[in-house]
Amino acid sequence: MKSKIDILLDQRNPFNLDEKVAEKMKFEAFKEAFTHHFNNCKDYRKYSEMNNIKLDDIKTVKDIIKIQPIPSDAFRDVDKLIRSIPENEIVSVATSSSTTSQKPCRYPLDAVTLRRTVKSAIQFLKDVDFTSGSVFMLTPSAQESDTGLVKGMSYALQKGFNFGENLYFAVKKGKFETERLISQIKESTSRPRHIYGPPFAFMHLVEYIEDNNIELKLDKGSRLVTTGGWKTVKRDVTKGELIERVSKAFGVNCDQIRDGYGLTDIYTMIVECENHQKHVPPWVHVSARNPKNINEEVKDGKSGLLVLMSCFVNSYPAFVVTGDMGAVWKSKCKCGRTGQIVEHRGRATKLGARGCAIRLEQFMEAITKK
Amino acid sequence: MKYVPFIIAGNVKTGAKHKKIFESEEGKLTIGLPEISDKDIKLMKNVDREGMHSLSIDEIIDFLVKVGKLWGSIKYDKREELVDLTCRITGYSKPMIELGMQQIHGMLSKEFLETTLKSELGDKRLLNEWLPRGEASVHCQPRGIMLHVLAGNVPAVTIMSLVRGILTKNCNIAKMSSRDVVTASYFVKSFADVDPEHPITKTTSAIYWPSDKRDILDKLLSFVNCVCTWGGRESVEGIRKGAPHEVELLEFGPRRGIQLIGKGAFKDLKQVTIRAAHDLTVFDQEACFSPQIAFVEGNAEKYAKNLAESLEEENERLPRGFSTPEMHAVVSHTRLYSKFRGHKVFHPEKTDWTIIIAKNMKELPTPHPTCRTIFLIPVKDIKESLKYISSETQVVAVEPFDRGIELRDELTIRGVDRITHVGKMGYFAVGAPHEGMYPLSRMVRWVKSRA
Repeated sequence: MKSKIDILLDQRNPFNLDEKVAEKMKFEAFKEAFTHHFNNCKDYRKYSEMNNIKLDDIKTVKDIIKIQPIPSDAFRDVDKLIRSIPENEIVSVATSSSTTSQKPCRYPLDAVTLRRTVKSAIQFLKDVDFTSGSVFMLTPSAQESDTGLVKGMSYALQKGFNFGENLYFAVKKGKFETERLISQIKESTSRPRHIYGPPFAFMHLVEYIEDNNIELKLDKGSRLVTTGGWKTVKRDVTKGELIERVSKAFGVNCDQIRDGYGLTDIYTMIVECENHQKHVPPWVHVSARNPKNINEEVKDGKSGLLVLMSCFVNSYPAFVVTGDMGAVWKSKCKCGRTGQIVEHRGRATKLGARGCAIRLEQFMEAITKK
Repeated sequence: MKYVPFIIAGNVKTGAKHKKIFESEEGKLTIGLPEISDKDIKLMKNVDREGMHSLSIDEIIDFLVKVGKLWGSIKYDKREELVDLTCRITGYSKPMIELGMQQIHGMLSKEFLETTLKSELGDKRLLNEWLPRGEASVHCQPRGIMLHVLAGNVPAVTIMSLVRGILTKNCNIAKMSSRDVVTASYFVKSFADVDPEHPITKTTSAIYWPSDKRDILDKLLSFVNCVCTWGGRESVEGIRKGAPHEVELLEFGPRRGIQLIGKGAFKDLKQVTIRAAHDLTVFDQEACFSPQIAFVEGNAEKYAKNLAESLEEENERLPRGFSTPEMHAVVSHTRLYSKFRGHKVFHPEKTDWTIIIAKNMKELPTPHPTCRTIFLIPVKDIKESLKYISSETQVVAVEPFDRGIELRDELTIRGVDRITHVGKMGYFAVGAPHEGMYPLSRMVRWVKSRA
């Protein structure tokens, strides 16, 4: 029998579901996921019980927030992976880079999760018209990087849409090959040509194009998707300035440039619509929690600590408290999509700048160097 | 908007080239600060070094004591204003800032200044005259112009740095940090209330520039003779890279504190946890002496419960300051993480303090959230802590203290600079070295001639 989760992932128009239908399906899928992880992940069950959450507590869609989220750091630097599947079912281990620690988070993936990842990716790629032509990833290939940003996206593009030879990577053996990439973009006959990568890599390309007076005009159907954080962009380029300069350098309209919020912790991504709103698919639940009390949601549109939950991840409990601040609200967008909208508002790590008290990780780093 | 002036070699300069917004319980406050011009830099470069040098050390002490008397009076208008502004800018509670004011007043007493000079230089007269030492006549000459790059997390440190520079007859430039853009300005401005024409008044400056204005720092580094830098790793490393080879560089920070709680502490546990709570509370754990980890021999849970009570009481006396949502989030994250890892977590409903009994050192959350959070590591013998202690640790507080005496050689050989009592981590004994040195002895040039 098809699982509730797969039924939801297989919806023809998941972003345009009737609200009541969406809520019912979402509840059933999340209940199924919670039951699976509660029964199969010993650490998670213990953690839920410690917080007085049992299977019976999830009775309606409103109870999804009772599902106890795991802090993202718990996936970092662990000898044993947090998993809800037997060890022999792990197909690969995804990692996420970290700006606060040298140690990445590690997530086990099984065949079920990968299959569903492709389904989810097909849905969001279809939603932003990123389905045919060629894709230029401003990253290393999946063979040279195991981050979710690279591995997840290239897996989805290959398995979901057979991009095959029309998938290009700008970074080879740690080197960003700018000239080669520009030539490949110019010469590619597989249209439309899409570009995907972190903002600083886009800026690197833009500066190269500007400095060398290169003329480039991508296609009407091209999508330029940024993902992976803004703080590493040199000289603090604002998002508005980046959109303007990318638009000019690549000869595209601003609505062709979309920012993606990479939810590596739950192995998925949310890409902006043409109105630059990030619509949450129904198999994901995002909530902004009160920073003083994580079990409480803040009001719609108010800043809180983001909790991300995915029902489709089978291999580990993908219910995660991130280190990100953001806001969530529900409204019908001009584009017609329904459901939750999320806005990322920065990292919850500003404390690090204060005082001269040494940070614990620096201390650990120092003592491990001995 | 509130304008905070720069003091450029005794001259007051106001402006609003830089606007900085600070959040506190009382809402947002915009501070307007002027810009440093080349003319200002020239003024700071051409201060009357001779005038400063010609002062006798007693005249200098006398001047500083007069300044101290002003700051010791709660009626002094600048003190009142500074306390209010510092609370709103740094986010510290008023009682915490008042504690800082008491420290400042204590530091500007004749007794403190005299003892500091004696322990650091041996004899204050070395700053005035040539004294015989062995076969030589020895004298302490000032380095010249000193730049103090401040951290802003502990107000008294700002004053300590400047006082050291003045005591050694140097001309001084205080670069305020973005965390505290007022204390140095108000302190230096108060010199004019003692004597506007005094050489100390005329040779001391308090300024600020944003961290991206590296050119100002480079211009200053081209003529200063000594730099005293406080704060985080980035700030300290930035100065080290830019300072010319011949510039004497004194670095303070970043470092941390550790507490070692031996079995004997359980005899009078309440007294010990009251003092341990104070260490954790002082300047909301943002200082380089603040404890972040405690190794506990014996019943860690009993210790944690007592410490929890003491932290509640201490929070009444020295309330936790203003926290941004991000700070609350970091604390909440740490608590959740620790629970997931199976550590035992004690905390009130709010994020005022957190005690975590960790199963081991390996699974501690990073980064440390500070915000009055302590990790307790249960050990059979506090000696087990030695393998986790290196030069990153500035101070170790030990209870009972005779255990500290027993361990002090092993601790200090690993790089620790100070062994103290629990409850005294934030207080420096008069005459004690600071971070492995006597700073005054490095702020002067030791010169000699044949006797």
